[in-house]
Amino acid sequence: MQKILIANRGEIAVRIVRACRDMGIASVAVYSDSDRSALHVRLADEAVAIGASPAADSYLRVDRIIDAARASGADGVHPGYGFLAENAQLAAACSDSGLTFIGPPADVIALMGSKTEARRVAREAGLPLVPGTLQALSPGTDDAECLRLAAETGYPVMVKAVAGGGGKGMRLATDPDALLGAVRLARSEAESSFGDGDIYFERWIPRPRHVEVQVLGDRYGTVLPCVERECSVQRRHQKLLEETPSMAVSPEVRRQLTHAAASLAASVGYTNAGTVEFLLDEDGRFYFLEMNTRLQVEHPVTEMVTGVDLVEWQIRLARGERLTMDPEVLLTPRGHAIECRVYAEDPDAGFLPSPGRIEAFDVPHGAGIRDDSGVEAGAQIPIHYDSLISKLIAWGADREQALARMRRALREYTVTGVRTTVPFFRWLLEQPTFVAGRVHAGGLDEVLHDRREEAFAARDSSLEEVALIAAALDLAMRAHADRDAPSAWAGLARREGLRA
Amino acid sequence: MRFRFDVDGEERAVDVERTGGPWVVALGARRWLADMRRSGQGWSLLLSPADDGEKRNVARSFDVRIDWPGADQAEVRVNGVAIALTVARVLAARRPRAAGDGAPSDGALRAPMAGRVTRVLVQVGQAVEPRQGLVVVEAMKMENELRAPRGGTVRAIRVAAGDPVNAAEILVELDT
Repeated sequence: MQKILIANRGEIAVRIVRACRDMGIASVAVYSDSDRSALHVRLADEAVAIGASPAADSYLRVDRIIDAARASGADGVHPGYGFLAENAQLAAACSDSGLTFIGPPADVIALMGSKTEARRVAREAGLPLVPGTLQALSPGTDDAECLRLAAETGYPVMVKAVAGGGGKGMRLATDPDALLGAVRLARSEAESSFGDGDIYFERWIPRPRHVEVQVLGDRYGTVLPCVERECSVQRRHQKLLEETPSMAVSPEVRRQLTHAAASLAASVGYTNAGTVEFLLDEDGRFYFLEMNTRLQVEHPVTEMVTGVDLVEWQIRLARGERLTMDPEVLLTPRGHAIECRVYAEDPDAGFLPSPGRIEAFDVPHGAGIRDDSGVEAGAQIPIHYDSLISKLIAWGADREQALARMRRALREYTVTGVRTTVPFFRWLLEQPTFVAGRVHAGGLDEVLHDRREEAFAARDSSLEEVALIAAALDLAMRAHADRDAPSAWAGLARREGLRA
Repeated sequence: MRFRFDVDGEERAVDVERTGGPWVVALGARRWLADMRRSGQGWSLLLSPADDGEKRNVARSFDVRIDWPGADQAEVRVNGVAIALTVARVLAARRPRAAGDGAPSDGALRAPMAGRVTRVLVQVGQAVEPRQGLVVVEAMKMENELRAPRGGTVRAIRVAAGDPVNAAEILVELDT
């Protein structure tokens, strides 16, 4: 492979451009109208405009991605995550056009993309499933049948989109009265997000942890699993913070989990990078949840504890190389790593998206800190896409050191112009339950519900005094400098209460 | 020079004077020597007690950013913690103008941000409970159910499914 087209934007496009450059491979960015000035375009070797700002007119257009690859002379296509990453049509269109798709085969994407089919093959591979319906419920399924199947599954019932992923199209029904409403909402979100209103039911598992296993597969039948990632810090099924290894996984459970993930991947002829997701219940039993046939947002934490560059290996596997690393290196974490997802959302306003222009963007550095950001100062955050702007990753020799480094980095992290989840993470990393590792997938939602909308940035009267001093000095220094050259500021200062 | 600020509803005065050398700042009963310089994308602020000669050489160091989103509104970040301040006298002058300006206490449901209406969940004339879902708006790929700010009767619905909406646009009017 000499030149790779990156069918994505934001931080993951930047991540892939950098991996290409590390390997001496040319990179081609694609961009919509609102992304002309984005970081991924500037860093890539070449760039192709693919359409208007709504993703449906640009990043989700298989035909335009293929045209851009052909026009630029790329021989490989990396889909990143999101957009077309789990779209079997893109993978198929790539092979039809003689392009190497950097991911698993199209038929495996299609198989695992159907959550009910994935459950079937996982069961055949001997993985434990969350109890629930094995068949999909099409939009034509009548209410009585929905209620009957839900009763058979057992309440509380999680209603999930067959084509789902990333927490979209999921609704919890605690009793039969809530079921039909949950079905309607899940179907509607599934239709708008995936163009497919099929749903299925799973019994809700109380206080589950969300644990997942990264796998890598080569074309010669070798599948290697990596030490698990713990992704239980979620808000409305959206992951916010991930870490590895999990505090809840013993060496024995790790052996079983990673073996189960590798068995499933091998049974479907999986190649390239993928992730098998599990729920871990309070008694330490695990259940297959779904398989993501792509690179995950949270892949950096695995890279930090294994030393393996997963994007580089995706490219190497796609060009037919064999997995040569020692399997034990992937299963034995070196230290501990944590990732915080920095979203342009206002945690003090119910995590409402906060699009706009980033004024200051100053990311932390230093020992054990990795910044994977996709924006910079002056960037405009469009309303059209996911609001993830950056990922902050901390590594430490143990969890305590990783947490300390993450707290230090969050203190230095500065974004102005838009609101971000940074103040939320500063708060979270001080919470005793989180520090003790006592987390579960619904825990944060419970805490947020109880807090109502109390601000995450706690009042600190000593810092407040410093802020007052700083603001007064700023005004005074402007007024001072303006004695020779009067400006609006001096005028304001004079009018509004300066007393010399 | 004396500056008056409003911070979280409380008025605080800061006296600042320049004595040829460093700035001397008085806040409440305490006085500080202050040295604030541009550093990186923000400011470095060094503060030491003005009345304790022995400790003058060792200052406390703060990482400070100052933004002025409005002429009288400052957002100051100290060591990463954001603190909002208002220049108090300007605030006092502006308050009367804001009062009759259709403040968000009129019971109307407004769009909290720009997006697209996915569904309208109520009809004109319908009685609604406080926090009942009225409209679903999709923004940044997430559907957000917007709930009634209070109970009442739906007087008017200003949007339909598929409509793009701007931040603060009124979506539903309620009689209470």
